Amino acid sequence: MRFQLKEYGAEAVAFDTASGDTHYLAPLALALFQLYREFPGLSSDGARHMLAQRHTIEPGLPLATQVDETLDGLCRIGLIRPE
Amino acid sequence: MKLLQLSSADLLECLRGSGIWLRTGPFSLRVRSRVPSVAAGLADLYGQFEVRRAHESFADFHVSVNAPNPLRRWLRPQVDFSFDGQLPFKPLPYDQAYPMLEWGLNWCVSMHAHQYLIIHAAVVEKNGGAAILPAPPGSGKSTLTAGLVLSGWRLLSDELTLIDRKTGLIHPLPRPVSLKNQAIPVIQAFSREAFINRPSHDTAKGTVAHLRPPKESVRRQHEPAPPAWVIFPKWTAGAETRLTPRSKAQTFMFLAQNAFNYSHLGADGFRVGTQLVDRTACYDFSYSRLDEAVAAFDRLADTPPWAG
Amino acid sequence: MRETGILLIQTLRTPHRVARFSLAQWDVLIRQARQAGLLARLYGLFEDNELLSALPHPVRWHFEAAGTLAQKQQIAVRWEVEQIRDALAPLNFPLIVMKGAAYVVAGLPAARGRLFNDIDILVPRGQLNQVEAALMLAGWHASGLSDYDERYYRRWMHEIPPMQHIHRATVIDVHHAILPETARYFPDPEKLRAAIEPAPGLPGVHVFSAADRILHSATHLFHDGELPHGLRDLTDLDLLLRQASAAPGFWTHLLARAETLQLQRSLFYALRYTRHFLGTPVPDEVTQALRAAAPTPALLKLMDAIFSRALVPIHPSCDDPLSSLARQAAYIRAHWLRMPPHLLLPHLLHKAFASPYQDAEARCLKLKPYRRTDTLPQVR
Repeated sequence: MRFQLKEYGAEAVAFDTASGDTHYLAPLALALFQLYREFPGLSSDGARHMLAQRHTIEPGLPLATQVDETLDGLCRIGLIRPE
Repeated sequence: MKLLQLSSADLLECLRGSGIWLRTGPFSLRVRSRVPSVAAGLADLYGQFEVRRAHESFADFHVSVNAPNPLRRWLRPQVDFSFDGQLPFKPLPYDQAYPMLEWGLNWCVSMHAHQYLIIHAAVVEKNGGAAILPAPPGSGKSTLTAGLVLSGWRLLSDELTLIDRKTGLIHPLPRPVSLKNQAIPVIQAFSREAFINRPSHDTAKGTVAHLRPPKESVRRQHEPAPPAWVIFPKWTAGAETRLTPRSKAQTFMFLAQNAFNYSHLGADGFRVGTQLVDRTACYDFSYSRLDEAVAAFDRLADTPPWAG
Repeated sequence: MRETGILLIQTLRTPHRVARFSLAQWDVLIRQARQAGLLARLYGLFEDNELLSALPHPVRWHFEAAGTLAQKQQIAVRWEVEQIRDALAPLNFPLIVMKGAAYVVAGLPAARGRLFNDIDILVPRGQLNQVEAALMLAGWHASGLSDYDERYYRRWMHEIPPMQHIHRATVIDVHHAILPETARYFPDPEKLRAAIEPAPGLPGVHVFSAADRILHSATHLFHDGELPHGLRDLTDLDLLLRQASAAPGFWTHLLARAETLQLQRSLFYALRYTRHFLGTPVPDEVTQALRAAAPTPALLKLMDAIFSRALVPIHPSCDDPLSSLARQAAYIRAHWLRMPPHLLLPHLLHKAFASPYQDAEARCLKLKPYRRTDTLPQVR
């Protein structure tokens, strides 16, 4: 397993055994990561939809941009594979 | 034999000759120096530490603090810290010879002792639980550490928290506590028991002096302790004494970024760090009055499961 | 030669000696080994020879801690090579990795217990500028050299100065040949390139053939190098030779290759000193065959005097009154072989008067263990 993950409530930390990098996953990042573990081929629209279903999202939050940015970040560090 | 049992003539002779062998926590040292303030510092602050006068055959770290060029004595005299013949630092003014020894010894440990995860934090113990105090410079960590060890807490270390990778326990390295600038008069006033040596001025950190570690802390320097709390102190003028729970994930990240050798340990650094955070309660701590801060810590140590 | 009295060298030759060591001897051994960058390698040697139980308790952590670092660096080197490969992929030539990094990607015994300063790569000369540009795009920049040193690299040596990564602080040494143009011999890079082998599990990454690796190591040490890690490089050579010589026909091939690449003199020294210092098994026929490449007896005597001192660890316990002179002589010789005389003297003068801290810091940059804590991107 390339990544070692340790969850602390809504947050997590992850260790990349390939690069030696260590990452912090804020609640949104962790939620998205868990989603993608269950549904690897999810589109970013689909991700937003499922997030809204599973979690209470603060009203007025620019969810779309945040989700896209977070997904980008997760791909960049290798936790999620881009489609 | 303890260092205080050596006459000052003997101490000087050893330091100027083949060196003095000392045991500090898990590490043995061989220290050489012709600089009088180094001898004075050792005599003042290391009295309770074990020494061996006869030429001890093995030492973990061979160090010396000496002037680089005897001819410079009259211009701007300087001192070098040498680790087994290597000079890891640029020279410092002669007046800073003793603090340079302390900084050099910290460097030796943090560069080499990878049997531990080494966090840049103070650590103290009471009732069987250790409290780790990481903090950026200027947060008042050293003042708080000094206050605690002068109030019955055991000093494990003022700079280097050594976490044994195999057991997760914290190994003591109770060397003198470094105090800077305002902390010096504050601690002197806080306790009559406080012995602080002659300050060095104009260092990169301002005025620096060291507090003699409590006798009991040195006596127990081979007793490791389990970590119980990670507490981030912050001194702010007029602040209320308050302990607030802190995110464990963010605590872990801070510790990883402030460990000297986290990245050297690979996946094991991650394992030891996360296990540490698992088994400790993590807090932010704000305070302005040292006596109240100590009382707050005492209450924490007296609360089950930590009540002695 | 006097170096046979040095504990570290005795131990490398005959590890079982340590079973009878006093604590005082362990103290000296550890200090010599640390200075030479060989603590982790020694640990591996003890492990292979079932000597771990002979280590007294106070000394163990020194070896284990070094071993931890070495293990971590292997992972870091591999990762770094992948990043370099990805950065240079658009330029479409096979990436050749040399020296320590090559031992890691090829999974050789010589990789074990080794510490790394930087990563050496070989690229086509005609693409040096594109390589530099591609590396810069990926975050590497010419490291903190003085202006003088940078000119030395670019103008006289026709090389790019070492490049350091802006986040990871890792350093790449980009080469287009294994000896500078100004050197006396010409080991043709095209010939080296024609014999490369792929690194297992790392598509796009290649290493020299076994014989060429050995010749390169020998050249680096005896023709070109400044010898800060002389003994360590010698142990690399020893490990490479022992492994490669298991293949049938190896020695004949090595001799032929040395001739093709004009590197017989370096090979001569390499075999002479690995055999002498470390007991590397070299068949007599091979020594005989290289006699033609030997220097004159007078010069050989001088080289012996120099290398017997310059190859030992830089440590008070290893010095004799001539050690410092010997190291300087080795240094001068390396530059002599690299540069024409009219360039040599000004260059050496400059080096003599530059601040020692300038050098030390430059060395520290390269010797910094691979840090990861500066790259903790926040994912929000």
